[in-house]
Amino acid sequence: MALLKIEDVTVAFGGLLALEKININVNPGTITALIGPNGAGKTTLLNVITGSVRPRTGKILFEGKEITGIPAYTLVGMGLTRTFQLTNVFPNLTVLDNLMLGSYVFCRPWKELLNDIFARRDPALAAARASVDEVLEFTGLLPYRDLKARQLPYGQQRLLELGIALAAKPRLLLLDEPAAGMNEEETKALAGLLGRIRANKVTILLVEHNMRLITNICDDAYVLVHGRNITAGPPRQILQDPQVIEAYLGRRKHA
Amino acid sequence: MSKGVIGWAVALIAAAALPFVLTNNYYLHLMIMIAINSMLALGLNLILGFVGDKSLGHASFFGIGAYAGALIAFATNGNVVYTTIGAAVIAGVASIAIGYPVLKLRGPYFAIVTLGFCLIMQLVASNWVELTGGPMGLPGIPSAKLIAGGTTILEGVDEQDYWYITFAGAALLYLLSRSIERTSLGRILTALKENYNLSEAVGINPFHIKMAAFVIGAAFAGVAGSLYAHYTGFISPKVFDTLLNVNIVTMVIIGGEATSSGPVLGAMVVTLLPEALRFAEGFRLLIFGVILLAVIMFAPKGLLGLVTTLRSKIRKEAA
Repeated sequence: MALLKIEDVTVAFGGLLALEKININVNPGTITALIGPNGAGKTTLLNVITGSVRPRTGKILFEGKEITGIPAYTLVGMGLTRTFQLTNVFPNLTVLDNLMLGSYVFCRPWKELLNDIFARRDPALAAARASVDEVLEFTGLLPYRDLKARQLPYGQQRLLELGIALAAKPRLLLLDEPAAGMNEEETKALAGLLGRIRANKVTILLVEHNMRLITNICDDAYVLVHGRNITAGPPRQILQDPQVIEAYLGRRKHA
Repeated sequence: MSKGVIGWAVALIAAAALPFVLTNNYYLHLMIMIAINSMLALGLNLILGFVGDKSLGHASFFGIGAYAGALIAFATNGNVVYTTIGAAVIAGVASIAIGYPVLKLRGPYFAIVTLGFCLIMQLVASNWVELTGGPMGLPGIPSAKLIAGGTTILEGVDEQDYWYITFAGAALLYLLSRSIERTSLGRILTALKENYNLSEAVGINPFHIKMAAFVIGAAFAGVAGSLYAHYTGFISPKVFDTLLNVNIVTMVIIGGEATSSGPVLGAMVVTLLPEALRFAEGFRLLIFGVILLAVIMFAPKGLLGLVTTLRSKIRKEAA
């Protein structure tokens, strides 16, 4: 059974059809890519999944349960987290505090407050800390633990963003252009990291433009053009598809 | 840890000894006002400092607390446990009524509505004569008493007593605020100011968290209001003072937002500085304003931020 199932989703902004009858299956343990030219509706689709955009028709199923319209803050507790297209961290907080916020779902803030007042240890905090330590180790952010997020170089900030999403221990991770703005070396490191995330049984759905990254690590790819899903399949195969080439590069003029 | 214990011991001894050093009742009155203002600033700091939502009507909850405390005092002969807790609860409930429709919105609505709420409360206090005494106010509010089994154990009579009472109140609220600051809750409150969308993405329900900060802050103001009512023995619609709204905001910003010591420091400055400037007579408020402006320009993180920066600079030079 698909971990995430998008069924017949149509989104309209006024008279504009942003997405038209989209059907996508994300199988557990895979990395699935969502590709397509700018304005194809990829981010809109992520926003539909995380509840900030309501579809006109269709529904979203996560682990067989319908989640259409459920807000992002509830989805985190159900095992689904996301990152954003532009770098999104808590700039004036330390890396550690950023990740602690990532593990928010494990915290019981009110109980923790009471425990603090009566000078008792808080068990939930220990669980959150353990998750954060794991992420620090896993992402290699440990040396930067006490730096403020805004003091990190760009690549590390993007890594932190990924770390924040991982700290909630999701089963499905939605990534919006994780390699955007990264140089080749950083992209390679990211590919390795995404592979290890998959190895840890976290399923990934990502929007990405970097074709090399996609062919290297993705199991499936869906191509969106003007809000329509024109083709789907293994990345190497669909990149040969004339329709896809046309969408990206335009039609060859015959003399 | 031991350093903290020593710090608290020193603070407690200093607070206990203060009335014997400041034998002038006027000075003691200023100290009581610092304690009351600290409670107000600590409360506003939760929503203004941590979350970053600008409330311009914090005096509403001070006034509601004052009236609630006074009315409960009449009914219970001034049982301070009932008056403070009752005032905190009633101020908290009032803040839910105002926060529920407004805190879902982002933008300047919150500032406008909170300010409007304070003006409305002033009108209510002036016109609901049966309950509030109208513009004449409520005179003869019973003094604060600690009552157990029908007998009065302690009673607040003079400035010295009220210094101890208000100091105890401010110290408790300071400790609560500090616990909030250093546990996950403080981090969560700051997260909303730092990055709203990402806060949602990590699982924080912004509305619930903002509401909690606002309600707790209002309850702090309720406690301050009820102790003020006991202390002065008389309240009128003037407790919903527009200038007080501005002053509490000033305390939080001047002292240092999103910290617990900052608002207390701010309360000291905003309470004492106008008094210290009395020699300047007509120029008093002008000089006060210029000093506040200078602090905001040169210490955007407030006086506490300035102290922290200077301290780390000195440490760097020493190393």
